[in-house]
Parts: sequence; structure tokens; C-alpha cells
Amino acid sequence: MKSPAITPTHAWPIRYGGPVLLTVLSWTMGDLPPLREIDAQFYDTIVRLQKPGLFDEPKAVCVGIDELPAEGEAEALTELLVLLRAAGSSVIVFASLPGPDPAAFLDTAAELGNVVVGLPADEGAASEMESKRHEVQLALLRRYPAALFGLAAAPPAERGICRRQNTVGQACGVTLEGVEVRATRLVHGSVPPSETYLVRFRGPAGAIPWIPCGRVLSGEIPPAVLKNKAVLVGRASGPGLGSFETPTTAAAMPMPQLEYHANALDTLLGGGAPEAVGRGAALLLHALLVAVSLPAFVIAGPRWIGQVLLALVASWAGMCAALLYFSGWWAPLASPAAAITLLCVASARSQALRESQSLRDLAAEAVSSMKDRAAGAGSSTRDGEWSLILHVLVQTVEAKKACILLRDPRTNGLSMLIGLHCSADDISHPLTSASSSPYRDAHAAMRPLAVPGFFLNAGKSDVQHLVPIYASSELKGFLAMALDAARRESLPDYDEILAAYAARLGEILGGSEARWVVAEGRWGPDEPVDSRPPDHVLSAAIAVINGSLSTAEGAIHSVDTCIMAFDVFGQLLEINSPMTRLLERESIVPKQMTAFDMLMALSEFDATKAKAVLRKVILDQSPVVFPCRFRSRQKGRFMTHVKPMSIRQRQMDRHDSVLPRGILFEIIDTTESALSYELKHRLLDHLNTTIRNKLATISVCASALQTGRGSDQDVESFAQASQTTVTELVDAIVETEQFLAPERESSDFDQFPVRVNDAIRSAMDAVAPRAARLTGGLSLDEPSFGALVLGSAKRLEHVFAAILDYLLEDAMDDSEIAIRVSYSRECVEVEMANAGFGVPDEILQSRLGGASGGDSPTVAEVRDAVRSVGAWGGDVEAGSGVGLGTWFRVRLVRYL
Amino acid sequence: MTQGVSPIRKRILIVDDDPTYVAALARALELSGYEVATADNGARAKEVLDREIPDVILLDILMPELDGLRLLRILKEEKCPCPVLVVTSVSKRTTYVEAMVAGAADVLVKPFSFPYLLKKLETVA
Repeated sequence: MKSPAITPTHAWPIRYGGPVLLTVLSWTMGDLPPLREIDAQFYDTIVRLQKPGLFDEPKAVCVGIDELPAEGEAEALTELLVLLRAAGSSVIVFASLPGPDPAAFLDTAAELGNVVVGLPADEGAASEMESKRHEVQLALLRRYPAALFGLAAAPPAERGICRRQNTVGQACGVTLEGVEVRATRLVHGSVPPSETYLVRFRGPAGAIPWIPCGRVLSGEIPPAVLKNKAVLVGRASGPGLGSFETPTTAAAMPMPQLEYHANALDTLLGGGAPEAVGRGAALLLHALLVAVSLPAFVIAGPRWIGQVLLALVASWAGMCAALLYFSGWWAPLASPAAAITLLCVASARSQALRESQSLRDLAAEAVSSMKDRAAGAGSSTRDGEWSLILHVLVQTVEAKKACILLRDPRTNGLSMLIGLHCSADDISHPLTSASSSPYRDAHAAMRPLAVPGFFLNAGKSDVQHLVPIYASSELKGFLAMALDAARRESLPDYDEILAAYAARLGEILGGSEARWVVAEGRWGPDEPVDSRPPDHVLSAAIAVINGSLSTAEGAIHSVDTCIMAFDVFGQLLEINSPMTRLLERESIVPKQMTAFDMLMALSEFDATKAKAVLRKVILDQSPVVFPCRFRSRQKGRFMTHVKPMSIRQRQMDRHDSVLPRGILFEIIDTTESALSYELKHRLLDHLNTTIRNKLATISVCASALQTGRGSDQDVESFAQASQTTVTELVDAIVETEQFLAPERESSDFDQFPVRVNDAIRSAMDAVAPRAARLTGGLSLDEPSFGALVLGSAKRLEHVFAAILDYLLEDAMDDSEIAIRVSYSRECVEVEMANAGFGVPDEILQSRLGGASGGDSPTVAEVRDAVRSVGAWGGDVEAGSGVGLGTWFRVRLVRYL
Repeated sequence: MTQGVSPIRKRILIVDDDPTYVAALARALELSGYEVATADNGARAKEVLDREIPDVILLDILMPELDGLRLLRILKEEKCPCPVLVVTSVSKRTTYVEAMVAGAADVLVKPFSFPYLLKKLETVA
């Protein structure tokens, strides 16, 4: 199945542009109130989870002055100020100016230092009373150092919850730093650079120590409680004072403003205030998250994409929580989660589209495949292939002229699709209408119709036929052909052959049209796009169709023999894996070859013979068998079977007929059976020799007896010799019969009379590449005629190869390995020796005896060889000496 | 086994590894007026030939140790004047050609009729 064709150059904007856009979009979405609210709620939850003990001791305490009467407040506060300073407080913040005359108080404050007095923030339209207050405060601001005053403003709230404090604000029309900032500046000089900062709350209201001023004034509070503390002095409630919901307060217990200031001051003095991740960093986080999520969604696929989304969002939330809880960094949660979700939706949509497209491709391909398999030559038939088809057709029946006429369903006119040795001008009948004679007559007959003179310049004795071509009962066109009358006479089934070809052409033309319709994006000729069946129904249908087709394919692919099938027009239909592998080794590319080419490649036929073979297979429906050889398997023996593939079908004339459908090539490896045949042939040869020998003796004895010469003793000797020879002859025949018994299979060839010379030569061939380094090579001294010994043909070759390999490893470069074969009546001796380095003889004997472990593979092979020879009744002797080399003597039982 | 050789009878050396055949043929030839010597392989035959040259050698091909064709080539190399009649059970044409090329006077394929052998002996001896 082909994947949707998106080339890399087109793919990158789609692949990368979308995620980039999504990243920027989600990043900017982070400012939207709903997302900010989610982030804020998340922040509050984590802040609430933080235990107060997590932080160190509070840096600030509150001293409440709610109990002080308005009269004498300034004096009391002045006294309080002195006491607090005496107790060692690091900075003292008064949330408001004492009334009505604060001059003495301010003088003391200015004198003592590290005191900040809060002024209320400006609020909307100024009333008369407010204006007066402004005037008084402005006068004080001018009179006293500016550092003495700070803004004691209510904190900013977000949807009713206060999490931050401002660093500056307006009081009396003048910009003032907040009291917390002023106090922090007095203690350690550095203050937050931004206009607002997050407050780290110690807990719910009351978490900051709250001391009534009466206890301080009465001296009940030990100085250690106030030492080095920032002390905020003020009222819990009163005009202009509010209480606030914070992330840590309970709904029924809002936090007084003084304590809020204390928490803010505690945050600045303690350091480690929570900090929101900056915009740039947030963008990076978005990008990182999108970059991680995209491949995760692609890998997950449509089935798991939802679960992956949940996992990613949960992971991100966990990371954000951990970041805030442990390091105080507040990273955005909602907008990245939204980005991941959007990405997930986009990815799922994209995958669904791709799957849908793939399904459509699959549908198109399956339809095409179906047509291909049903139509044989393939529904994707192109002009060149039409030419090839017609060529094969003409060659098969040896037609002189042929053409295919295509009918236009709209005009009913005809046009020439392809013609061989003819053109449209050569046709004597106009092509303007398929309803005119002789087309009408051929269509009415629904079978090949003889039309003399159809081709203008055909020979006088030529037989000419017009055959209607149908697809799905619809007239698609005509096949016209002319051939010599004599040739026509030699083809008794000519009409059936033409009908069969026309039927096949109809299938191909029908297939081509269906392919075109699908390719154009239409499901059927009259159905609009929207009426296509749903994808899942289509998918199921295709699965069923593919299943059926796979069953047929499976038959070809499940067999071990090499098989390939060609259409009757010679185009490859199917090829199984063993055949593919075999042809690959021979550098034969079947997909680029016709049946004719394949026949030429596999056989030694010339073109004429190959055509004759194809004709025999297609027209006569007769199989052809011929031997073939392959370079990659020189010793292999193969037989190629070329068989017709046909179906029995009710034809136009309602009579059953056999339609040629294709050509099957089957290559059968006959190496095993050839070996069996060869061994048995040699055995028969040997028997022949034995019989001739024995008959010669009998013949001599008979002649001697016939002449009547010689004594009685001679007569008796000749008679005895004849009798002995007959017995020997019968024994030889009986023994041979045992080996020639048909039930003996190849596995029985482990003990069979085999030619020792053949085994030696094969072994020499096998080691030849390794023997090339020897200047002397391998020399063989053998009798003129090979003797038979009992053994296995294949194993005997291995025996000699193993010994030769051992001798080769031991041999010096400037030497040779000598092999000498000799026979006695009982055995065949094969001596093999090198002029090599050699080893002490006892070591060699130890190796061959298998006493020593860890021998090289070569030694192990030799030991196996010794065992094999022993199993056949023979033996192996060997000897070696340092500097002398090594020799082996293999004795094998001779078969007489 | 070496028989005594009469100066008036033609001497034949039979070289074959089938003892029954050799014994029968030797006695039949003796009864036909020939003096016969035998050897059961090429090497033994060479030993006999080193001592004396017969009038004809009846030589088998398939023999152990030194086969007939090799002996024939040796005799050709040594320019042995004795004609060699190859008598073999190998009926292949190639064997015939090889034997003739190696110097055989003629080739007889077993089994043969004894009178035919006698005729051949008269021809070549």
C-alpha cells in the first residue's frame, strides 16, 4: 500500500508551521482571563499545600493598636516607638499617621531612624475632608525626610483574591514606595525591581504574630520577641482599612490589611518570594512542550492519542506543582495544557485524514489489484503494453494483421486503439458507427465473425475475422485479425482462441476504465463522491476481497518449488519467493521480462523455438518440459515445466470451452533424483562390466568343451570354472538388485557403491582456492578407470576435502600435495601427503584419536572423516614428522 | 604364474585380474597350441615382460595396481615390439579409442567367441 505522497519540500511547512503557530497562539492565549484564572486557582492550591513550617521564623510581627483611644494616640505611639526601638526591632512600620497632631511623633521617628510611616493611597474623587488631609500630609512630606513615609495601600485583587503587593503607588498626588519596600530598603537595601511582587503568605489570618500594644507598653513582652524583627504597628480594622482574601485564608476569616503588609514585608525580608515565569521563558516552555508532544502523538496513533494527552497534561501539571512547591517558580499551566490539547486535536485530525486517504488509496489499489489479477495483463495497461499484447497475440497465432478497435459509448463510433501491420485507413468499413455492418453483425453474433476483405490490403487467401469485445456485458470494441488460410487450417480451435483473447481483452479494457474512474475520484460511473460507502465498510469489503485473493496467492507462495505465472499476453502475474531468489542469483529480473524473454533466458532455445513452445502451451494447451542449468548452482540439475493455465467456461455460444488464462513456469530442482539416477547408472555400468567379464569366462569354457580337446581333467576344470562363474554372476546380479531397488531413497545412499575418483576430484575442486598458494598445487596420480567403493557420494567428498584441508594448512608454500590412488581386489587406497611442517607423530595420533579437546575445526573435520571411513568398513592411517610433513592413507572397501 | 615356453609354439601373455577367466582362457589356448604365461595385474606383467617378450599380449584394462591402459602406454614408450590385443569388458567407444591411441593392435570386447579370439591371434601374432 502506498503512503500519501507528500514530498519533503511540501511537507515542511505542514510539518513545522502548524506546531510553531500553535506554540505562539497558545502562548498569547495565556493572558486570557479564563486561563489566567485556572493558573491562579492552581497557584492557590499549591500555596495552600505548603506547610508554614516549611519556612523559617517570621521576619515580621504585628502590634495592634485597636485598644488605643483616639485621644493621646500620638503620645502612646511615640512611647511605643521608643520601646520598640529599645527592644531592638530592625524596622518599625506604622500603618497610619497618628492623629490629631503627629509632629512630636514624627520628630521622634525621624530621630530614631528605621521607621516608616504609612500614608493611605489616593482614592478617586477627593472630598473636602480628603483634600484637607492631603494638605496636611503634603506639609509633613515637605517637612520630614521622604524616606520616613511609605504607601500603606490595599493590595491588588484578582477576582477577589490578593496574591501580590505593589511596590509603588500614589499618595497625596505623590508617588511613594510601599511601606514594605521602604522598610526593606532600610534593612538591607535591595528591593524588587518590578512594580508588583507575589506575597509569600505564612498561612491563614493570624499566622503572623499579633501583639496588642498594651502588652508592649506594659513591658509584658520580652525584648527577645521583638529583637531584629520588623514590627508593623496599626489597627486590625477601622475607617479605610479592609481585610482581604488570600490564597491561604479561609472564606470566613479574611486577612487584616496590617497582617497583609506584614506578610508582604516578611516576603521581601525573607527572600525566596514566589516568582512567575517570565514571558520569554513561558514561550520557550510552550515550544518545548509542543516539540515533545508532537512526536508522542504521532507515535501513539489514533488509538492511544487520548491517553497520551492525559498523560502529558498530568505530567505538565505535576512539573508545575513541583516547581512552585519546591523552588517558588510559578509556571503557566493552562495555556501549555491548551497548546497540548490543540496539538492533540490537530494531530488526531491529521492522522484521521491520512488514514482516510490511505484507505482510499488502499481501495483504489485493491480495486486495481483485483482487476490486475482478474484481468491478468493489468488494468494499468499503457500504450506500450497494448503494443506488446497485440504483438504476442499476433506471434501466437502467426496473424498477418491485427488491430483493436475501441467503441466510444457516447458516440458509438470506433477508433483504433492499436494496430499491428495495419492502420485505420486499411480498414474497408467506416469506423463512424459500431451499429453499422459488419460490426453490428459481429455484435449480434457475439462470437468471431468471418469478414472477408475487412483489411483492404490483406492477401487474397487470408482469413479475416472480427471479434466483439465485451466487458460487463457492454460492447467495448472489436478485435480484428487476418491470417493465412493455411495457418487457419492448422488451428482447428481458432474461433475459440479468438473468443478467448477477446474475452481477456474485454477484462483488461473493463479494468482500465474502472481504474480511471477511481483515479478521477469517482467511485462509480454514475455515483457522486458523497455516495461512496463509509470508510469502515469499504475497509471491511477490501479486507474480504484481499482475503480471497490472498488465498489464491497463498497457494503459489506456499509451495517450495519455484513458480511464476504469466498472462497469456506474456506479462508477469505472480511469482513466489523461491523463484524470486533463484532468479535473483542468476541476475534475471522477471518483472522486466515477458514469458517469451523468460523462456529464452531459462532455455537454450532460439527465438523461433521459443515462439513455437509458447504456441504449443497457449494454443495446444500442452505442457513443455526442458532441462535448465544455473550459474549459481553448477552442480544442480533443474527441469523447467511450462504449463498452460486455463479455465473451463461457458462461452458466448453456450458451449463449455477451455479458455487459456496464462502460462505457469515451474522450475523443479532434480539434483537429488539426478544424483540417485547417476549412482544407479554407474552401478548398472559396473554390473554390465561384471556380466561381460563373467560371460567371457563361460564363453571360453563352452568353446573349449565344444572342441572336445583336452583330458577329462580339463573338461572337469572347464565345467567347474563355468559353474563358479555362473555363481559369481548370480551373486553380482543379486547384490546389484539390492542397490537398485526402487524403494531405496536418497537417505539410503550413505552406503552405496560410489566412484572414488569422482569424490577425489570434487574434493580437489572444493579446496582449489585454498590450494592456490602452493606452487606445486595438487597432483593426482590415479588409475585410468575409477573403482567403486562403498560409501556416501557426498560424505566421501567431504572426507577427502577434510584431509586435504588439513594437509593444506600444514603445507609449505613452495610444495605440492600429492594424491595417489591405487586399487587392489579388495580395497581402494588413496594416499595424500604434503611436504609440510609436520608435527610429532604422537600429537597427530592424539588429534585423530580425539583425545585432545579444543582442536581446530579442520582437525575436528578430519576426525569426523576417520569415523565415516570406519563406518563404511575402511580405515584411515596417518603419520607425521616435524620438518617432514604429514601423510594420510585412506583405505575403502571396494565394491566388486 | 609363469608357464614354460616352447620355442616352436607362439607365446601368449594373458594379463587379467579374474583368476577363473585367466585359468580357463590359458588352458583353452594351450589346448589350441599356444604357450601361455599369465599375470594378474600390470605390474606383474611388466616383471614377466622384463624377462622375455611373448608373441602376443592379451591385456585387460580394469586391473588393480597398474591398469591395462597404463601398461600399454609404458610398453609404447619402451617401444615393445610385442603386439597387444586389448580384451576388455568396457564397451565404451572412448575406451576403444584410448586403447588404440595407446598402442593396442586391436580391441576385443568381452564376451567374445573363442574361435574369434583365435582368428585375431593369428592375425596379430
